Amino acid sequence: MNAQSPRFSFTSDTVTLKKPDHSKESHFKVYKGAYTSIHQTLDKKAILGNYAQNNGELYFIPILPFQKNNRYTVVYENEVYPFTIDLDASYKHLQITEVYPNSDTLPSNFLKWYIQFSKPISPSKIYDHISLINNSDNTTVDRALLPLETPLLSDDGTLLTLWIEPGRQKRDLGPNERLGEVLIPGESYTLIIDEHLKDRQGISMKMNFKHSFSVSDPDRKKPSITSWKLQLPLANTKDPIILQYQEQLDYGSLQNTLQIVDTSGNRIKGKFIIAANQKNIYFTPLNNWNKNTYTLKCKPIIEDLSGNNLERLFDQDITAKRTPPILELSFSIE
Amino acid sequence: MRKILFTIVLGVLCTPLFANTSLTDGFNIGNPEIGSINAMTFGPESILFIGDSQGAQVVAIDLSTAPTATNEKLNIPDVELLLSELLGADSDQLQIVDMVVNPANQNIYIGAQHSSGKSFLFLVNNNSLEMVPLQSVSYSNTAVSNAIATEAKDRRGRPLRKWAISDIKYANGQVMVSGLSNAEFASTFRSIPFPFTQKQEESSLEIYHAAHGQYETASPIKAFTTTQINNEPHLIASYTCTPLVVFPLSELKSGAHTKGRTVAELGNWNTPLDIIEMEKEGARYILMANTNRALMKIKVADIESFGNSLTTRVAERADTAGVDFINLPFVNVQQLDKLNATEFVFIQREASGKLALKTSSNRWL
Repeated sequence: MNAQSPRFSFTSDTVTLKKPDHSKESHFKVYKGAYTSIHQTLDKKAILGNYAQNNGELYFIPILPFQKNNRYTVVYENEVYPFTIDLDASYKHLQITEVYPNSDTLPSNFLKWYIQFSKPISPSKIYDHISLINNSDNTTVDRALLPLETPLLSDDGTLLTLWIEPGRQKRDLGPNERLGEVLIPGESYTLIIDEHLKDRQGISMKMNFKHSFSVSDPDRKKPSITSWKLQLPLANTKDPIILQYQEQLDYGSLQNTLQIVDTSGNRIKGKFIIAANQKNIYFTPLNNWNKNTYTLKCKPIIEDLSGNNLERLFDQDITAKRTPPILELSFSIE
Repeated sequence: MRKILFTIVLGVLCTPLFANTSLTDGFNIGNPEIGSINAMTFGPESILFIGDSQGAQVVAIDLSTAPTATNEKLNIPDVELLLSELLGADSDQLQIVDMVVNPANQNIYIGAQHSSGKSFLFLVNNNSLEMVPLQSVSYSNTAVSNAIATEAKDRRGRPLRKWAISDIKYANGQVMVSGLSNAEFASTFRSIPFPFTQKQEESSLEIYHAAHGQYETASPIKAFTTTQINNEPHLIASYTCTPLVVFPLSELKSGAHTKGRTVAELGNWNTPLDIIEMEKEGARYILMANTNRALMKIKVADIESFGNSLTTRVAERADTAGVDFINLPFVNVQQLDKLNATEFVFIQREASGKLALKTSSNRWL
């Protein structure tokens, strides 16, 4: 924090005025920007906030905390005092901790990434900081990602879903026919999230994030759970059952879409951990496994990386015959 | 944006019977605890509906006692600068989420979001913005839960699946909400009876897009409005991928596998942001603000006479296909609403880079 004035003191959410003249409370204002005279503030709007008083001091509490490393000016009667709230030197900058999928090869009709951040990110203007580069000529792929005014962020603000422009991934739609698919088999690309992407305190990441991958042929097959391998725990333990799948599956679609039931159909309480990049799902029961038969039940909306789910293809050929999906796997614990 | 046509018709029919009742009768004074303002629309009786993705709710707020703003010579040349000064934050930390007009008094409201995730409601008054406090208001709300049971939670106990509200409208006693899931490319469109009840009466439907009779895909609706087409109430919607489809409202039944009738593809990689309806000399027009195209005008009569292009390939005309539309000389319009019978209000990114709030008369119709 910068030097405090004898009359004012500052924290990130309060400006304190010492010895105020209470008849002039309305003269106590804070502006965004650094100014040296009242004249410079005349055509500016003061920051919205609330006033409070205690022990003969008057407080201004801005509606939002002051942004770190940003210039502000407090004005009271004929006093004008610019100030800055410095960023703590130990501040942990925003980082990307995981990308789902992190495969180095993706099908050309690949649909979406999930980007896991170390802390909540700013929901404003996210897409300005994300681009897809074709590595062969180092050019940005035009109209590759779906920009949304409301970005798809998890409630805690740390998991961002990033869609490849879906109109270009759907066969026979105008954007697909005219612009073609975003990803071309045989080419390689880099997803870049630039360092200017900010967290909720308005502080940028410190480094660009890059994730390179190459592109294979499109995936136009439904995923199936029949190829899943189960690594079974022993009875009378709380060891996890490990579900190992062969084809990469969509991380988001595995959330809340699995359950394990006993022979009476009662749901087994416990916790699923989705290690999507390892193609493993762990389920740890709350209580011991019994020597018994259990059934894994899956919702049909579990998808592969191309939006094909257990029940239908992403772009379903409605003239083709449909087969009902297999949604259950039984297993016995010994 | 606000379509209250059906309500007005119903209202006229019902007035003698329900003269002493109001849609706000069950409202309570308090804090609706709005987590985020994602989409807004006005219903009748100055009721503002707010789609709140963070709070997974739709909130109805009674703004009938709000003073009428002074909006003569309406023009805010730099809305971002104004917001930045008022909130003390850099403009890249702020985003205008929606702008709506109360048809009862032409008050213009702007929803803005800060990078912290906090949302704010402002009233446009005297070419400035006044904050509308939402801590103590007359309101009613209803939960819009995730379509999927939320068992898996993050480490702080919050669900990882998320349903992000993309648009909201009120018509015919129903609040209609479209949204996108962060997990699957499914379409979720909900219709919730209003006034809200404690019972979960919302109907949720799957909407598909069919291409040329062979392929179909789930298609989230991004922006929509309601209107009368051939004297039947219809939804005019834009998908995230292919703009402009119409559905009869009568087909929107819970659990139904519904396909929209494509009436126009409006060019590559273009998504309508806001869709409104204006009238001039007895003819009705749809106006659309778009992500990558100019403001477009379509005659409702052309949609009515377009016939059955439901799933068949539409003949291509230049870059686009379907009903005729006219590009109006307004580019980069990000927010659009009907101000009154003859004017619309819009927020436009100008060539200078500034985001300006302006109005236009219906001479363009």
